[in-house]
Amino acid sequence: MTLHPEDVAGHHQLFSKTDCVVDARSQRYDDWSLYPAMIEATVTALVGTHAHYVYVDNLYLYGRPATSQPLNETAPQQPVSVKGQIRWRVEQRLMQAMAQHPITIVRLRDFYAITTDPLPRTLRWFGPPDLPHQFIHIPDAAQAIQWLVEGDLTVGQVWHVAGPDPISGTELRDLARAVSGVKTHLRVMGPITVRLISLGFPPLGVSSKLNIYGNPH
Amino acid sequence: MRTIILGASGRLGRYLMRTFVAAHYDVVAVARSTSPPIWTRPFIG
Repeated sequence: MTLHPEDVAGHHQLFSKTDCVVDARSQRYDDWSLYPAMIEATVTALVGTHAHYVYVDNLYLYGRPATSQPLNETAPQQPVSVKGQIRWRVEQRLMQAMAQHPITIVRLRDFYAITTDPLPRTLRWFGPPDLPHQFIHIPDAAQAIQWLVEGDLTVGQVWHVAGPDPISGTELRDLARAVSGVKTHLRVMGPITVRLISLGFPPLGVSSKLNIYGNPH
Repeated sequence: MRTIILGASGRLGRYLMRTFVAAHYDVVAVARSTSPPIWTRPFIG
């Protein structure tokens, strides 16, 4: 079925008859201005229901790490991009709402799916190509979320779902070449390219990518 | 357990549907009625 993102009554009617709501919505890349209103409408629709709300987030709210150590959940939250700041504010709102409602926040790494994402001839990479980055396979992320939902044990908590061992851009390129037998290239988008894209399209949140890839996340 | 997946037509949503159905949950898929133009859909992350 389909619903308008700000249809509070429609969502409330649905939530009233359910045990759990998993929110996997994102937003159009060129405009995140409506995202907070969408989540606010969802929180309003939850009032008076017993549905366990599971909000799926990413790591943009960490922004630029203060140290060169790999990112972990104790890192300060310093979002620098528009998207990161919006995500951070939304999480703050949800943490307030946790006092009145069963809510779990799940933060995921950048994800990929071999079965739906065709292997391209060129891989895009942000930041230093030799710096390892961690990804998560979408089916693994979905399985983790299902386990977190099971039994309501994670209500009122924030969970970080990690992926397998980190991999660098050059290692990923070599792996893609070995798997596909095609000479896959690595296109590195450095600070200047990212800054130009950010200037032209600030809501894209590409600067978040540089912060994440430019440090050992 | 009855579960609603918001964003069920997205990349993660589609896998959530499969996973929850495989776990024998009673799943309701909800997609937005306002579909964004193709060029605004995620191309990274």
